Amino acid sequence: MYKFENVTQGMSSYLSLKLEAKDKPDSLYVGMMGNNHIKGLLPMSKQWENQGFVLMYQITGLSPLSVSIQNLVDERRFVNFLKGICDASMECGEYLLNPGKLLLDEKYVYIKPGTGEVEFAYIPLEDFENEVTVQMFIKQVIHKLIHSLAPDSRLKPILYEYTFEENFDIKRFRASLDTIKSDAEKANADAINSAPDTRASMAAPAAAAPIQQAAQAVQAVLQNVSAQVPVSAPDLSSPFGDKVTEAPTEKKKGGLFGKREKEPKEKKEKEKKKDKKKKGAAEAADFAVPGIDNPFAAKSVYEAPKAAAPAPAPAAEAFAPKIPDNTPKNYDTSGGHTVILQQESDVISQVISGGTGSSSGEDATQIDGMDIGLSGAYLELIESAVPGAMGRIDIDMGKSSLLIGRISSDENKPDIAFPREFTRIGRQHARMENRGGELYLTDLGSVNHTLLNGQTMSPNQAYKLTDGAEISFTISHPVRYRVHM
Amino acid sequence: MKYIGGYATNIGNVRKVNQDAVVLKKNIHDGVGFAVLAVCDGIGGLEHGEITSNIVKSGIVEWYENVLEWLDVEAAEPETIFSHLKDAADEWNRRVVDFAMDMRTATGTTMSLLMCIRDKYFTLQVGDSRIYRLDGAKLVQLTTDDSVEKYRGGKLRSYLDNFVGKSYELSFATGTGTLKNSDLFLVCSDGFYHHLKEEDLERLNTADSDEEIRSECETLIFEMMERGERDNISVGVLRLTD
Repeated sequence: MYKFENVTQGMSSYLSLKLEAKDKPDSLYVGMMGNNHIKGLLPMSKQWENQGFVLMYQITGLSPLSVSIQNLVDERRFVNFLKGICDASMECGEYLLNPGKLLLDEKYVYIKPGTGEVEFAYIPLEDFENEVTVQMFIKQVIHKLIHSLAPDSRLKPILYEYTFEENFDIKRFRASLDTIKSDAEKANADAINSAPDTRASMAAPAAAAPIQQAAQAVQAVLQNVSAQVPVSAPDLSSPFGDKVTEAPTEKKKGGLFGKREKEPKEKKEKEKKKDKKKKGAAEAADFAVPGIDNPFAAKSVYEAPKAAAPAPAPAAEAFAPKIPDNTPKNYDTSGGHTVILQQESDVISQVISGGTGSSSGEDATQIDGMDIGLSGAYLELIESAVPGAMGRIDIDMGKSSLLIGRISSDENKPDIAFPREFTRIGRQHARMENRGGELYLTDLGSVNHTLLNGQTMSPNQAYKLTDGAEISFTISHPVRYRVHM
Repeated sequence: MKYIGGYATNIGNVRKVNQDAVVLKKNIHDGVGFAVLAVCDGIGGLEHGEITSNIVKSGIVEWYENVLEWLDVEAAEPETIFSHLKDAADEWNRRVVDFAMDMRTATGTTMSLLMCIRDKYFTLQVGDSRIYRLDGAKLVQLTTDDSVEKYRGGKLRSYLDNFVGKSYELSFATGTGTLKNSDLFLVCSDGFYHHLKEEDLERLNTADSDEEIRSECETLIFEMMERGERDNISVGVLRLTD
């Protein structure tokens, strides 16, 4: 019934829809679209031609969905695409447009190939109404792509939960897509959430916490990305396509992950508290004796200046490790197992040590006289089928046994703990033991197995580890490490 | 000590398909035992419930037989084996969800699973099938139903609010306890317990063989049908004895 054509004018490309005078465009819709750039809709203009008129939709640099649909198997682009559909549908309401007039035909739905952002043609004709609802269109695309997504795609559970109903709620679905964070944000959030407070610092008060530095580094990346890349060029450096246009130019309040805007009264009181703290910190700094427990100092064990004088050992309870909130109540703290996350800019290493810990001298990287992360055996990540694996796992030879497993809400946290997302790694997957200075690995009967140098380990049998050995946790979604001794 | 046990399942008087699945596996070595007993009830209001309950049943059988190949029951840590069982349950759940997505439909099943190993028992519960323990003459319900009550059509009705296949992240409840000699466990679908009375189980306590228990399970199922049960009916019993 309606005839669309691709038209080029100069450097620009258009989708044109020729109409006759009898075809009645709704002047309100045409006005809305002509006067506003509506997110998710192709910019449209109306041109008179002979005895009729032409609607021209700007599609420069865009690709029709029918041609580029396979680009969406990338989870990031697929999320952007789905968000774009939802936004377009919701924006229609904001601008008094009818979502039933979105042209939901794969040949005429356009995406930005690099980011997956989508734009629709809106047909502002009284007689035009799509037979397909927005929800149906979403489901059609999902059905075409769902099997191409990675097995552990975070999108799959959302697609399953929200879209099997016929008329699922677009707003709710859109909100659920926001829960999928970029890998960088997620890894950083996991690092921050799982790191207990380290002991109060012996470092100079001015030393910044490694975690804050890393957060700032990620923030800087996002800010850099926001200044980049025009519409047509794929932007592979950006965590999510939409961040290119929406990344803040200044640091969000409350840090990288933002906080709700406070009411004015709340703000004032918060300011007062901050001033008080600053004053306290300044006072403390005046009195600070390096090594003495300084509650205002940044919590860092790794930035102590070499010049710091040896400190008298404070009471042991001042250094009791903080138990994360999600740790089961019967988590054993009496053994004094201290887990410290040492976070570098792009590598997270987990150091396992024993003992209750106490302050030592100038070298802030020591606990009980043992070096952390500087010598001894460690596992180096080779590859991981699931994002967020620990890049390096240092192993303290002073401990006799380490349980390796995945964090879960129904069991105690393992010594070497993989995040919950590593669903194929068992809760008690394997055990690493120190037998007379030699390392042994035992698969505890895990469901998805452990491989050593490519061979499946027999359950409950200890295998001696050698330098250069490769360990793979799970077969189907391997997380592979190399042993360094 | 030895295990005796049996189970039965019946389509019932009204339904066209039996969406229940029951599994009983037991093994004793030198008086030390390892057993699982489970009932899975496919969600009647969703499609393919009979397939999903059997997906989980197959998973339980597969897991049990794999573990049996390497398990040294006398040396095993019961909690570690139960940890593996929970990991396996996550895997079965993923299979059900993947199946649902392939079929482009919603589907699911309950799962009430009892595992006995050495001197301990563990329960893993999703949905509204149940696990009971006969403590002397008293029937004690070990699991809590995953259901909510809502008013519909002027009546207070019970609705299942958790099941295997509901989402990629399986939510379950667990329990544990110490086994006693002459313990009797009963695992059943809701079609069985709707009309169950304590005195129904007296003969189970005196059954001496797997065959007697199986026969008694069948008798009880017919009794429930007589009392007006319309749903599929399934029950499994595991008893410890000298």
